[in-house]
Amino acid sequence: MRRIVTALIIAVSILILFSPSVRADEVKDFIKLSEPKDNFMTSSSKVLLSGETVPEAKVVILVNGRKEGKEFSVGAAGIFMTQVPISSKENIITVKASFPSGSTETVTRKVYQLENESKLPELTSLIQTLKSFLILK
Amino acid sequence: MSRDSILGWTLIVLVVISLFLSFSIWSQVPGNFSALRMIDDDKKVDPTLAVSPEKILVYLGNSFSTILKPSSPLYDKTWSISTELLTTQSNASPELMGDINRENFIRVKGLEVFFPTPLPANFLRQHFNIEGVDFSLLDGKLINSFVLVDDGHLSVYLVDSEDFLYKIGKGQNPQNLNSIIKEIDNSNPPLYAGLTADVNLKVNGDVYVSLSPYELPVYSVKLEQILEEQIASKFFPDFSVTRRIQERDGTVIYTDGQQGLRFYDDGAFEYNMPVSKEVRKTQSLYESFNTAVDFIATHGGWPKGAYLASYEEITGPSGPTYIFKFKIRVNGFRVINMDDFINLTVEGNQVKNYYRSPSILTKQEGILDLMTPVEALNAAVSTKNIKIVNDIYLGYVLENEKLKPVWIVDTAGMEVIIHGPSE
Repeated sequence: MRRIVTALIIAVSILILFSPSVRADEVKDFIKLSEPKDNFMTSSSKVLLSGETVPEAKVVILVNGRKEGKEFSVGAAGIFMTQVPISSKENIITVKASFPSGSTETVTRKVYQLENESKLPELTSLIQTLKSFLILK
Repeated sequence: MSRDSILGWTLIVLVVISLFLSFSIWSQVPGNFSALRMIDDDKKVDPTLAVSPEKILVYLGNSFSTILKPSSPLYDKTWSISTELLTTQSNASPELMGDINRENFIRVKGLEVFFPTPLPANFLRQHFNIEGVDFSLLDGKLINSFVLVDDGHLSVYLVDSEDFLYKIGKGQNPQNLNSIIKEIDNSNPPLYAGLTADVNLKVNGDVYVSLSPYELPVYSVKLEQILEEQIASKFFPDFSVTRRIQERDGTVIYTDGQQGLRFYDDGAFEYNMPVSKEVRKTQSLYESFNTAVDFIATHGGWPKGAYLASYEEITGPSGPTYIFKFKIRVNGFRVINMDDFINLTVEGNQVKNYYRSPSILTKQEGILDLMTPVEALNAAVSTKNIKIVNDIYLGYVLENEKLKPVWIVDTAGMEVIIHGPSE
């Protein structure tokens, strides 16, 4: 009897260990946004948005709280890449991913639109100066 | 003549005109076969054609990029300006800047010009007439691409096959560079972006992909009938001392006792000429390359879309021998399952062997919709279970006498072909 119980415990343990649900948990739900970088400055009216998430996740993009385009599904590679229009000086881009597991995750980025290109290097150098000042401090 | 007969004849004339116009419109669709040869025999060819870039990566300065392929409208103009800037603005001895980080270029305006095959730095120096600069730091280095960027000044860099970046010039005025980039940007080109992924799929190096799907032509292909005597006359100016021998398998050989020309029954031909020690003269790779290009142009004509695919140097006791392999681009894209179009060996200052595949004639048959590269990667992951991507690019495959556009995913030492969604 004891042998049967031991065998059963081992079998159940193996089943739990290698069950699909447990293996699915190994691949954690995630979303990574490669572009745009936070506080990105551009003179363009569109911004590149690219990243990686769980395959078959659904992604929705919001610019300043407004939904931009339709929700789309990410394919087997888990990669997404699109462009979003911006029109304000300061833009909050939010990417919300709904995973097959039912959970969701949100990433936000702040993007500044500059009036013309010439202001870009001035602002970049200003930020560089501030950064070096803070480092020196 | 009665009024009715005048009206009747007018009607008949109108019907005939209408039938004629309909015929002339519909009989020309979808077009005739056209040869890939573009430059007639005996004409000098600019060797720059043979090393014209595989692609020109254009940094638009706003995190977007675009890629100009040889079929892109502004490709020729951009290539011409790039070579001019490379020649005139390369004014400093190479300075190693470390590994290339293309992230640094996406916020500035610039061009990166990729050669079809890595070329020795000295070859480039000679080819683009870069003068007054000591290239000894780059001895033995193979150059993949050159970069022109506006970083306040116009800076010129070379990128070697190990992705090391060398600064070779700092010009005064980036105006020419900026104006061509502006023109490209205003032409509403397909936007590209760097692909980054390291969880589901590992992307190695810098891979740029377009954000939009593609439509590319499909071509039907047939072999061109060669004019045997016309070609033979280029090799044997004096036919009175030339013999023509026909073998049982259909092969035809022309020989004057020293040099030989063989026509295969599939339309290919091969020329052989032994190089005597008395006339041997040692040449550099660059000189031999020029010999090869001149020889091809005057012996069969320079084929449209031909490019230097690879080369080999064999060092012997009597000097180096160079083997050059040329392939053909169709509509500006590589044909991935086609053999070398031309294989040519230069020994001393002479062509020792020249093999040329049968020329092909192409006729556009229609347009094929292709998915976006991200969709192609999804297909590659789900059907082929790939885990690593070294590159993804468009190309053509030759299947059942048709040239079809496809996506090619370069992964872990092999190429995975992804057909269009309708295939």
